[in-house]
Amino acid sequence: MKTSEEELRIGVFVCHCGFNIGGVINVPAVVKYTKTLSNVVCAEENLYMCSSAGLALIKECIIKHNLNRVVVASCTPATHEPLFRKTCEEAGLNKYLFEMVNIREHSSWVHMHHPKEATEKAKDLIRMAVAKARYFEPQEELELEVNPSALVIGGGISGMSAAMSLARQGFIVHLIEKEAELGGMLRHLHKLEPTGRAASEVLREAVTAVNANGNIHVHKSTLIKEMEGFIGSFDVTLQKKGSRELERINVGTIIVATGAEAFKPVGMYEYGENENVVTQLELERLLKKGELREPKKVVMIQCVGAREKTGRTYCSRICCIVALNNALLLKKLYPNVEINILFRDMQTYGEYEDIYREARASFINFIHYDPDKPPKVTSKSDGKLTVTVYDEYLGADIELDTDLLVLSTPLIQHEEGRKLSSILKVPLGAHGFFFEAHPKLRPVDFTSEGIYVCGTAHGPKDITESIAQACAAASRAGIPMALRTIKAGAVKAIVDKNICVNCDACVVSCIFNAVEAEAFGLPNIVEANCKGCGVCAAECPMGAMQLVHFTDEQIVAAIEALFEPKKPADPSEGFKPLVLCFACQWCSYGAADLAGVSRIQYPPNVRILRVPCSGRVDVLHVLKAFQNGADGVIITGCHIGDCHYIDGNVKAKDRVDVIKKSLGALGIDPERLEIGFASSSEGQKFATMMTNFVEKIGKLGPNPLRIKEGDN
Amino acid sequence: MCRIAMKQELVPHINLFEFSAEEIASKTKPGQFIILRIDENGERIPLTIADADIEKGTITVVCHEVGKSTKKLGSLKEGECILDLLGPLGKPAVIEKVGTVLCVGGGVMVAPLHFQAKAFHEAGNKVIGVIGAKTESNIIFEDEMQETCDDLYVATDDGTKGFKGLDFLKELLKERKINRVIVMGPVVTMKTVSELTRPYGIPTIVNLIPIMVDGMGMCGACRVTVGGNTMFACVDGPDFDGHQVDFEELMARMKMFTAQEKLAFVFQEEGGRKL
Repeated sequence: MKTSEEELRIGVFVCHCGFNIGGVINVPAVVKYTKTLSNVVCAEENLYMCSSAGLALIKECIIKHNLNRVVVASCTPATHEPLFRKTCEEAGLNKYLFEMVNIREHSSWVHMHHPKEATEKAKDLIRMAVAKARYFEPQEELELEVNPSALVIGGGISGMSAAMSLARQGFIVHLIEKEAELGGMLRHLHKLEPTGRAASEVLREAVTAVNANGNIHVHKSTLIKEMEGFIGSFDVTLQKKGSRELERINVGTIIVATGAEAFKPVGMYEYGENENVVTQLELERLLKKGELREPKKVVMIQCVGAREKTGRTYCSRICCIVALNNALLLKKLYPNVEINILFRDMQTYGEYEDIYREARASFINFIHYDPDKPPKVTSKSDGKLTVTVYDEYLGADIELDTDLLVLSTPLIQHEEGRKLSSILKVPLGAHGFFFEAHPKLRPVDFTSEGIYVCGTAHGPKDITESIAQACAAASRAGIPMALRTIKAGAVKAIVDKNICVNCDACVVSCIFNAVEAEAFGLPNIVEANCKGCGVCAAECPMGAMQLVHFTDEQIVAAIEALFEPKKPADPSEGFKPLVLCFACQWCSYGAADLAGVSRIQYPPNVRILRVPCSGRVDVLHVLKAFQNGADGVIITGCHIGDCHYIDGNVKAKDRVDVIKKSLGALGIDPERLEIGFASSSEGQKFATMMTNFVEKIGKLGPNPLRIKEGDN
Repeated sequence: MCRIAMKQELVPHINLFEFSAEEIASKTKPGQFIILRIDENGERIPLTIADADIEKGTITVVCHEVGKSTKKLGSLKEGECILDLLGPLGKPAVIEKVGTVLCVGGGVMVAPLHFQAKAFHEAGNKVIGVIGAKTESNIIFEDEMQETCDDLYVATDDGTKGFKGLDFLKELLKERKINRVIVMGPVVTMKTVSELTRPYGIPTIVNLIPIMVDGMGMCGACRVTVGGNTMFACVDGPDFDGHQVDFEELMARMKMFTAQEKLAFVFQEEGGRKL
């Protein structure tokens, strides 16, 4: 107990929740039992602990009994923890000295026909919570000031849109462009469909608006050199191209809008060899400058360097549309031109399908080619080309003479984007584009707070989508800047530098850049970046890294309390397995709650211990559970890919695999340890998982270490 | 079997050992390492040699207790034996007269760094030493380095002794003409120093001891990427050009077995009880 000089005075409040808890669990018996636990100086019950009378009772007891820890046994913390925490604070008790026990969703509602077992379970869960609460310490929540100015990297249409949106909201924006002019890819495009407006016109309007806005500071020919800091206060070093002078600015948020570049298919289809072979982007430049010589026969090849078997496996989304637009444009300019488009699959999603219909109606020919038999291109002495393609319908090769071959190539990440990824410490995905925190839940955020992404930097998109995403990123960045201060929870990593051996396992394991290594390896925790998952604590081989409010000491205390007093197996009662379930506070705890709300019954042998993330569960916790007599241990988390901390559950799974291999050496069947995944909408799955696991443990018999304990 | 001729606790959890190993001592050069096993089932621990005494027939290593095996090693007493000692392994450091050599060491690696600093000094170089650790209480070999180096700087991560961190090197590199830099220490130290010297183009040698098994180029566990090529630290190194090493990959590779390491450690710690 850290606060040893202070006498522990714990109050426990057990709720009947009308009949919801009281109808199954013998609440008075639980209260009576609770009073026998050491350090518990008061135990009360109420029909509804969340009613004003119940809350008043808690406050009154805190003051009357001078309580320094409060445990409420009622429903799920997901809905009522904020209320009870607030009540504690109102009575002068730090809210981190409060613990909640869920005896409704996790007991009375799921063991409706087993009142005796449900009551025992409630006692166990309260005993665990009291044990954990003994080690609680008051915590202060970190408050960060947010500089209401943003850095937008990239002066293309996405960056300009994001900058305009933020500037209009009243924030100062530093807009960085690596080229001498704003505009990005738009500078090279010709006409924008479906409106047919000249890209230069659209661009001019956007640039004029940006230049006219007093809140936007445009830095042209400028690159990002360095970035330090965190949400609210990023120190960014800028460098003008060709100059050694550095400029330092401070911003509260950062938007990455660095765009992409078109792949140059050097060495493919005579590109780079014959000047009549160009990419779609180069064709647009020629059209824009009016430098295109009138072609008689044009061939376009789709998916050049895209949708490959390895490497660039992705579809670049816009190339089919671009090809169709350019083909139609050529047809308008030169009505007699013959155009053949060689394609693998035409992907003209949404309303772009209309362009495809128009192209068909305009007598543009489409020839399907098999990626295993790609077209062959040969140059003739006069610079003209012959394209040979196998036509599946004819079952034969056809030869197309052409004087202009246009290759549709995908958008790819550029070198500057890759460099920026390491400067900002934000990840790139498998295809090289910037990688968002969650494809569904956080589509424009990075895992690092305060940094957002939009436009083609994030992957191929059309202009409409880029602008929409830019506005989304601006809206996300606007939240902390509008609030001016943000409060971060107190659940953060801390390190004991005396125990730490500077191995930097924590640094490597943290994907939020919240743990940095000092020059000699001592971890430095960037609190503003820490999300409180506890993965670093579980990875730390020495136990030097801890997670505040979920320390090893607290978790182990709860585990030991579950098996205290020791319950040697009583053969006359038959074997009743006791299973410990670690549940992450997001999906799997939610699934257990939903099983309760849905009244899905499962065996009352399971005790749920809430952890921030399945990735917090340490080998120490698992071994402690078995050492103390758990018949089975099941770790539950969000589905792979849905972890709220990106991959904590993957790390948990890897750890389980490692532990399983070693359990045999202790005489414990590896089958006694399991990891399962459930989303918060899968109450039935959670219940089934528990039922099956308890059944399996029932067949395995008691934990051999527990039998030994009984013998002693 | 190999006897511990001398054991000295330098600071808590960091011990110096002299092993009786006549043949190894007679062949050891600075920069090389040994691999030892405590017993039949023991993990193979690679340690960089911190000194060799041909007359006494001993080699010196310094070991930090960071896990199960090193803790076990730390519990052994003078006169006790370990199962075996293999070495000297790896290529020796290139010791030559170049002018001024900056030797930067972190944590336990200050001890083998001293071995090299001494050799550079004897070769007629001016030696500037920088030693550091996470905190004051973990600084080792300060007196020895003081004696060997023309100038010595001390740094700690928490600023409890000397400079805080290694940022002060920026000034030092600007002011002094340095011809070679030797860095031995945690991966992050080698990375930090290599980044600092890169703009000056000073040859910077780092000593890499990744996860190893046989130490003789057979298993490939110690693969490192240097200048885009895959190298084996045990036979191609352990010394490499710090400006060419992929430190990010090295850091990630060194954490591949943390779960196993922790499991072994927890087993041992809890072993005295019911497990």
